[in-house]
Amino acid sequence: MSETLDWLRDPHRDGPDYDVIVRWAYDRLARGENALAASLFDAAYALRPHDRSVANDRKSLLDAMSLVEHGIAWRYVPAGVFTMGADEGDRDEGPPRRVFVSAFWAADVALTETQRRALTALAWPTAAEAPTPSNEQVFLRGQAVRIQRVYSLRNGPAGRALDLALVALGWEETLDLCNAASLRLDGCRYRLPTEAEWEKAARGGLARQRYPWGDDAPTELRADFERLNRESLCDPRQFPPNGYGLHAMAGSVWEWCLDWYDAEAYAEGPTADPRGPADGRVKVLRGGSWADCEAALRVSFRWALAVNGAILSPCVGARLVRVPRSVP
Amino acid sequence: MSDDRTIKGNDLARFEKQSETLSLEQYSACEISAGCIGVVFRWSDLASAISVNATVLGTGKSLAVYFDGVAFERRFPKVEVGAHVLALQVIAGEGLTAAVVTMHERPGTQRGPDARRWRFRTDTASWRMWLGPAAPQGWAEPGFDDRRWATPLAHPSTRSDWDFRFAEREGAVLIGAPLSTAPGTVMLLRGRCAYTP
Repeated sequence: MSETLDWLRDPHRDGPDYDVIVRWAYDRLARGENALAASLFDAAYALRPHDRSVANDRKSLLDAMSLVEHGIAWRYVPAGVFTMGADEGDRDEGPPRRVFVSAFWAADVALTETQRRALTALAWPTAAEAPTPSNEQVFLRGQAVRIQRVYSLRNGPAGRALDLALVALGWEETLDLCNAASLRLDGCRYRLPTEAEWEKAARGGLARQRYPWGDDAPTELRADFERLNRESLCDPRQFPPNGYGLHAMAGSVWEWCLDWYDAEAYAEGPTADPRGPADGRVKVLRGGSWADCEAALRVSFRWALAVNGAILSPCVGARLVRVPRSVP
Repeated sequence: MSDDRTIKGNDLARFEKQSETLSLEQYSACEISAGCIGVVFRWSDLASAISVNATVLGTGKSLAVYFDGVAFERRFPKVEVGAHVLALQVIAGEGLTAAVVTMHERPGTQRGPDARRWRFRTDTASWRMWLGPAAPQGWAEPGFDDRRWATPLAHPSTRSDWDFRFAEREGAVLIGAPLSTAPGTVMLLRGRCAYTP
């Protein structure tokens, strides 16, 4: 069989057999064509995630293609086709459809205060105003400060709190932060993920499973959820990473997406790097939070809120992605 | 023939999240830490459990509350599908030995169409009371046989505390032991509720 790779980008075409995909993946790896090899390994992993040898080599390659920039661990998510949505749950989760998503890097955790300062080169408070649990100036985010303090500081010492998810984060605030950070970079830029990028990242390379780790129901060892009485956040890195090395894609905080929400988007939208409708009322949120029931943590569950900042919620944060400037 | 206004309504609805399977609860900053203007959202699956607002108050020296035999989480409790038993232990002090209980479905929850037929109900006639020196074994368990227990007395409220007055404003009645009950006596109360389609 000739090595035709159009199927890697075409949602309407099936790929070759598993063994052929694996052989091509190792061929490309040997030639140093890592991006293509990663896509091929990813396609193989979706077919047989329990093939330990291939799964380990895929993981090694994805680890090698990941990077640390501005203090953020960016995990590589290969280009490829995946099945977005589900045929269970709410109507807006379907119909399931195969979509192509270009390669990108996703932050390994939702945005933290430490990351925010690194991205924007925002100075830390001086020694005279050193961050303490009682010092609201450490966050400098207006009304959101008080919410952040409660949910971050309640769970541990101040130093660790800075590495928990930022909450009460507005969509526009996050966009401004991304734009400011992108100005300081050549070749790449930061932004929120599209809904398709988010779901591909959340699935971790597994095909048609409910959660980032598979179909098993969430437990407290896997995700931060159903803890309304606790009013606090868990360290996202205490939960095992998914197949792309991303922590807490289910639970912890709802994560903003770039797209406007449209319940009919899957039935009508494009299948190559879909970006949602051109206009809308509310922006998409994904992933579920520390307060939600397990069904809201499914990788296909969709929610949306207004972007005007009128609602500040300790359930809402964001996870950034890093894309080449050639990608919109 | 279709109605133009219906079509417009449907067109707009697609741009707002409306869950058929889960329900969205909102908790204001008055109820849970959320800054001055923050809101905590919780998506709940009403096919498995419902969030209720509960007030359980007792007079006397001490109050312990159990739900299906385990200590009752009184902050944002969830009640799972099925029948349940709420059990209270009040140690009598000087004066009235009584308790007041309100439990109702959390108002304002946005329900999906799949969950609209589910209801939370309390059975006010089901309350039973036991008085004695020490609680019998297993008294708080759901399967405990309380059929021989007495019916508690309804007392006119003499309480001026705000929390009692709020509970009574919601229709709750102070129930408990006779006024002659000696200090130190253990009063047990058992009542029933259910969450079913």
